[in-house]
Amino acid sequence: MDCRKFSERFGDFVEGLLSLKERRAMDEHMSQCVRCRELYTMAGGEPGDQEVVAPADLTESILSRTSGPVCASARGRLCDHVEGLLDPTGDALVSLHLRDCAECAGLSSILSSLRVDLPLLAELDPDVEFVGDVLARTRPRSRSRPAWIERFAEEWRNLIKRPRFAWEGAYVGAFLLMLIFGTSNAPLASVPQKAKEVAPQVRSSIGSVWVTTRGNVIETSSELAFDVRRRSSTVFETARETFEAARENFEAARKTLGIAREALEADRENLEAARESLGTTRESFETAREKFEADRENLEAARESLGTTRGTLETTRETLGTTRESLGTAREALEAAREALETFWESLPLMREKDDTKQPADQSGPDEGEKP
Amino acid sequence: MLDVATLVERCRQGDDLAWEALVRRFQSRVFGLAYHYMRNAEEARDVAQEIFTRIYQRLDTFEGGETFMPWMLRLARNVCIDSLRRRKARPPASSETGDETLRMAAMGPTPEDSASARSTRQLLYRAMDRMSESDREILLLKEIQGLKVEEVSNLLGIPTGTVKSRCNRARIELATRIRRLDPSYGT
Repeated sequence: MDCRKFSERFGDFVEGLLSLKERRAMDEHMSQCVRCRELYTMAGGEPGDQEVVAPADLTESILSRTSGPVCASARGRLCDHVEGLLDPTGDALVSLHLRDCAECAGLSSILSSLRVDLPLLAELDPDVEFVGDVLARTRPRSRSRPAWIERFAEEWRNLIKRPRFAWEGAYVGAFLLMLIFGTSNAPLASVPQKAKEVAPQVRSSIGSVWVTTRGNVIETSSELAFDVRRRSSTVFETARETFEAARENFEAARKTLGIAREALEADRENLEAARESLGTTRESFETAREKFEADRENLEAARESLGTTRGTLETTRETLGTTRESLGTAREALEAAREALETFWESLPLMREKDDTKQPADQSGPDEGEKP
Repeated sequence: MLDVATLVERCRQGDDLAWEALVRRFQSRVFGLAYHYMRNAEEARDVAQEIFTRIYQRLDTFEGGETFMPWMLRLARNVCIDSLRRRKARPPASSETGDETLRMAAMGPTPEDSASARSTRQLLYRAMDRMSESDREILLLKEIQGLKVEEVSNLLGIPTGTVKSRCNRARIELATRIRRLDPSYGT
């Protein structure tokens, strides 16, 4: 193989499209030709390399410059992929993405586990008295009662559960009192006036009763006071025990709060660490991207240099052809000149003889050994 | 085991034993649903009782063409939403949702529940606690209670396509939160 053939097949060689035999011939030529070996080195490879491994983040960089990140699209189909609802092509595409994307692969495995674990949350056992309570709430209500009574009772229960029910009741009560007693046409309008008249008589009769009752009340109240004092001591004891229990509960709650606070602090520290780690990762990513940019620029420069070198090589080849042709012409001219010189040398003695015949007495002729 | 349609029919005829069997059959599911809405065991217990009372009163309105489960869940959801509205009118009794979650996770559906199953439930509750109400509800109805897309669509009054897309989004959201809380889950 010569340099011309090497140059013709160089592109396929770099792309790895040549057969083994041709590759060996190219390698052999490079081992003998310094210029071709340099050319191959400039193209980014060394003799003997079989393949060039792409950078790990190359695909992501290309996607970020073209279609954008594809994880969102993959996650849109991830649920259907887990449930086997995708068509074969779509399913294969998602599988290919999961092979290279650890984040989406992790989500996929979590979704698979959730299919099993989530239905387990459907049932929670209440306490053992629950059924009894429900039956107690439902059994007393006879199902033979008319439906309208049930509906009215239900509406009434809902009505009284509202917070503003007390205000509404007070308003309606006041309104009814006004209707019954407050106006001149009310059916019981005369009742307040009559009550005012009867009041002094009632007060005087109450006076005599009051004196008697007062004595009884004082006597009874002293007995009651003793009884209340006795009972209150018992209540006080119970209250003290309750207070002690409440204090213990409070202490326990405070301890639980302390533990929860510590856990919160630990979570916060973990969050800070994760945030710092994210920052470092981002910096590494930026550095890697810059390196990738620099590598790409170098590759572009090498490619341009390769183009230039190829042009130079073509020019050199043409010059070489021209030089070879000129050399052939020069060689022919030299042959012609040599033949002319040979003819001249052969004809030189005859010319001397002619000169000697023409000028026999002339002593100033050239020496025999002198050559033109 | 008696099928649900037979139990319901006997209940409508006034058979108390059938009613008890129906309550025992669905108490865990109704209580689980009530807990998912109320996030408090005590309130969930009261609401579950209220749900069964409402079911008892309205069994006559249940039509045989519809399956019992969606009908019951629709009724239960309405009771839960009413209770939540009432709760918003008064200040919350407790804000210790985390402790409540741990306690509920420890209850489990069966006494033979293993420690790993309890921790899994705890993880799922924690992750769901941080989701929006709409996402949590759609997960609850479709993925946890196992309703079909059409049934969820009828229940929530939204198109089936919206149910699917919302459900997928909620599942991805849940998976993302779980991954943050416990990266080892699912591996």
